[in-house]
Amino acid sequence: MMIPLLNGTGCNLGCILGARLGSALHLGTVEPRLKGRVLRKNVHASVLTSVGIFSFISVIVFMIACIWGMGFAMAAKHALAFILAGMLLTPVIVVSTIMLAFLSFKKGLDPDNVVIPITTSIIDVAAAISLLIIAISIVGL
Amino acid sequence: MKEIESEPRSVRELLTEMKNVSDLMIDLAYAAVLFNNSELADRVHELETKMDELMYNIRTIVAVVTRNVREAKKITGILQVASAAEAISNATDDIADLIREGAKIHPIVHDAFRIANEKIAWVNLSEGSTLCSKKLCDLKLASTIGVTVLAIKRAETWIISPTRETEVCSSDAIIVKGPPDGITILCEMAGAPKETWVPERELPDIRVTLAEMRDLSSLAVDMAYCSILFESREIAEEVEDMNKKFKKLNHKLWLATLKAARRERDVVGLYNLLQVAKSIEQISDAANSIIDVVLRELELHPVFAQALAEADEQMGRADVSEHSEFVGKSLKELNLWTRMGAYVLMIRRGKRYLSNPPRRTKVQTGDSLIVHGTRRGVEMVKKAAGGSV
Repeated sequence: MMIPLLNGTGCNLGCILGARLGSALHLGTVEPRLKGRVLRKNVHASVLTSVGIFSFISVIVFMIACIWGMGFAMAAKHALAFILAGMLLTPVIVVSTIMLAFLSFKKGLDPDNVVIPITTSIIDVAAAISLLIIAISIVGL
Repeated sequence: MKEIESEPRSVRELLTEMKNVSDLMIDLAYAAVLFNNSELADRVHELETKMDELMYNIRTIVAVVTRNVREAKKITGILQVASAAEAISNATDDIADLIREGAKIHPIVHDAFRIANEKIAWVNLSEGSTLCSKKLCDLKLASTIGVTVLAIKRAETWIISPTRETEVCSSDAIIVKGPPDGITILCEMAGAPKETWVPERELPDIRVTLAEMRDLSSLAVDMAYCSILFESREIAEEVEDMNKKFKKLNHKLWLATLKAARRERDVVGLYNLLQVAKSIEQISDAANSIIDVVLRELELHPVFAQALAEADEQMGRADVSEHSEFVGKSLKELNLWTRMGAYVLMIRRGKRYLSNPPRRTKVQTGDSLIVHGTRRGVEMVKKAAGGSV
């Protein structure tokens, strides 16, 4: 149940960051180097959004699990698994999107066309893996 | 139209280059007229082609990046400034075309360009002069005598807008611009004979007016960029006033020329003089369309400041502190242009702006000097004004 949720949200975050970076690179407010105020602000914003959105969804996960009659402890475990998987995914989203945006811009491709499809596929795979890792190792579902 | 390859370049880089190229084209076009040199005019034409490509690129990218209405409004400002830079380049190309076609320009134009504030000179380096076999960055011409090298002629080839690493060889000819006394010093250093030139007595009206128009149009363009850099409506309004003054001068020039045409035998020359005046007017109009962005927009796009911060010619605001060596001295005594390579465009005193201040103006504590010049020059003036030299 949680995989499509995590996939969807993760991809959205990646797309937003990718699109913003694409514009910024074209405009020249961000240079394809790993520094600069605008880049830092964009990264901060994505991390904050991801923390916010994953916490929010985990609350919903918790409530749905309760309604399904999973019991409090089990529902809390699900919610925890979701939020941890989200946190594990966030750096993957940020790093992969930035790298892709910079690489495509340097190669003379339009980041808008390149970054979003590739970053969504990467994030899909990464989301499934991170949820699996969390579910098996930490929460022990 | 040939396919133009789009390199991975940002709006900021393109805008910086457009400003650099248009600044250079103004100087080169005037130099082409002054030395009646069609090779220089050819170079201007090449730059104009480059400018068209830059304009095309910037339009394409801007069309891609605009994501919402608010952004789009700010970005139209960028396009407007880019178009203004292109308009300047078109105007200079028109001047260059006159030379390329071998049109006879009335000698009064040469005289007018010679008496303008900013001098353009052609200096032949003689064998064994102190300048030979040195890199431009070592010569530090801009920060010691205020002179910028626009182009170098080496045998049959031209080096346009030489970089800091370019070496000057003996038997080169260099085209420079700068303050009159700086040019005199350069001529001595180069071992070139001092320029001797006596203005013709005829048509003093036209000569003075045209010289004033040339200075005013350059000043208006520089100040227009300033108004964008500082997001200052006051500066933009100053530019508006200058444009009004320019219109008056233009009117006076046309009348004077028409009057002169009755007696003058060289009517074609006078006609070409008016062509040059028309191009200068286009440059002044370009300044007007730049300030239009400042007067219209509530908020300017951050790319402007970044692009202008990387241009070859820099602008800066230097606040004069009470410990500064500047306090109580007149601009003439300070002679910042020759000493540091940056000249004062405006002085902000309290709430008033003094644009193009006369040389006898004394600097006071609390003044803000708006200076224009090389990066190093602007830095030096800022430091000295802060009192830390």
